[in-house]
Amino acid sequence: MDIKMLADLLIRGMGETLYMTLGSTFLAYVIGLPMGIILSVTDKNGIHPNAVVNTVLGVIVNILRSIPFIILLVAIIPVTRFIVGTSIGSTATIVPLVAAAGPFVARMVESSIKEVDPGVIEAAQSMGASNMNIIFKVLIPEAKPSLIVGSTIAVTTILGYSTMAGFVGGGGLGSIAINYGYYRYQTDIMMVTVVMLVIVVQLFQEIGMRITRKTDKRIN
Amino acid sequence: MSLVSIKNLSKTFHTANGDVNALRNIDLNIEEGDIFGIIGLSGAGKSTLVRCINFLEIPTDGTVYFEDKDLKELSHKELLKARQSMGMIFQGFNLLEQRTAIKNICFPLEIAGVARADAEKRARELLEIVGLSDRERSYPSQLSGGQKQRVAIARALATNPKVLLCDEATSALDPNTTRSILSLLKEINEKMGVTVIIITHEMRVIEQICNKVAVIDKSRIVEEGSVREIFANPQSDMARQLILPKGAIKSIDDFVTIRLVFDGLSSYQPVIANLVMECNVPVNIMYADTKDVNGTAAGEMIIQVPEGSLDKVRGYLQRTGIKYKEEM
Repeated sequence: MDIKMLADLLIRGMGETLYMTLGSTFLAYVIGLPMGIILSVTDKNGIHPNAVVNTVLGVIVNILRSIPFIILLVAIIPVTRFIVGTSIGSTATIVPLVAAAGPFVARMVESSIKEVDPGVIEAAQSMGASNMNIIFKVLIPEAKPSLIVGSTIAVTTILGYSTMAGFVGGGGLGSIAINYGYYRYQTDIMMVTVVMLVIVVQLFQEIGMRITRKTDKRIN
Repeated sequence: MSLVSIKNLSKTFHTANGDVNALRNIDLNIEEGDIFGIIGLSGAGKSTLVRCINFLEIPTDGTVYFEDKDLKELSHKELLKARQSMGMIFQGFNLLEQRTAIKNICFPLEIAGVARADAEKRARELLEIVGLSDRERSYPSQLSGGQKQRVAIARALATNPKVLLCDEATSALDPNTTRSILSLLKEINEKMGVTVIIITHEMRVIEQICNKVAVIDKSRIVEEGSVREIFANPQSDMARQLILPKGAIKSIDDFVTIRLVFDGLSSYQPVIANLVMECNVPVNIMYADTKDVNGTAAGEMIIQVPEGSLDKVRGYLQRTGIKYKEEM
């Protein structure tokens, strides 16, 4: 295989990996952010305790989180087929990624929100703030730096998951590493994909930390 | 009727270790314009009491009237509205860490639905009042404790409340900063007509600015009245414990301990020297805490005089109009 073909392959792989990772992270937050907020708000120490909602949601999240990703990947193939029409390729991989990462994100969001000083919440209540005011004007803005740190962790975890999807034809750098490196013993190609993954993780981490430093007004 | 009126209020917390009666049968009336102190040791229930006034804690029993409205009869929406007329400040300041000083002050106005430009204008006026005009863009992490409390006071006043609730507002501050925050509260009370309710465990806070005080001990109010009255003549054990100097002063044989209270007497009168000369008695000063407030003496002193000359000393004290109490 000549260099140009290899480069094309790797570039396409990288593109697919970024597409899967960022797309899944986005959708995981669409689901996980409200779930995490509901979990923290309905907690017995939250601003609107509701044991039933909290327990039911908590159990669903725990079940999804306890299934190993590689199992989940295969187990929800029918669901993936139903939603995307196929179970192969990077778009199809987004479905199990979101199913795995959504609950993970929910827990991360929950813990970030719970870090908000209860005194500040009480102060808002003393001013006559409604629960919606508190969620959107206190909890989310005050937890923002922690939420950004969480999203950095989420994005790198999802990147790791996405490479696992390579085993079932998920596309991206993971597929290349498995198809060339593992099945065809082309260790050099595998090494290159690993290095590329390391660089991507470093990049996400660095960007995340920079944004956090810039946004957090507690440290400057 | 009073601005805040508490009738037969009780609060019980149900915990894993059984019920805790945080407050029992509390009756209090706070009039418009008062600076009302509620003093007690920690765990006495004073923080719960102040939270019952704005219904952050809902009383188990009894009624709280604010501007003649029974708070428990209000709908949730009406309660939120009523809270906008009650500012509150805290020991830990509780500012939004991710907002600047001015944005913190705008916060209650945002909740009240005030337009942004009007809110910022109001916030600037308040920053001026609390003396922090130059710090409007500072974040709480860039401010000192005293400055944070000033921002918190400005924030609590943004919606023009009738009453300002202060929950141990100076307990995290050093003595100098405490004094300046207390004078700011007094100024706000006088100039803006805001009634102030102060929760504290420190007698000097009450002494410095309150006109009325309630002493709370083990979930009950044990004494209530004007600061002057209670300071001069504390009836309850708790009030005595809070007012009198720490550690009982031991009486020596043949000597009687007398507590003198100075209030309203001229500072320029050499009371003790005159006592010694007129009665010809050796006076032993055990404790003294007096200060000059605009030419009048305020504070207390504990002296010992020989038992034999007690009558002479009594006569002198009565003549000069010094409040005194013989201690055992």
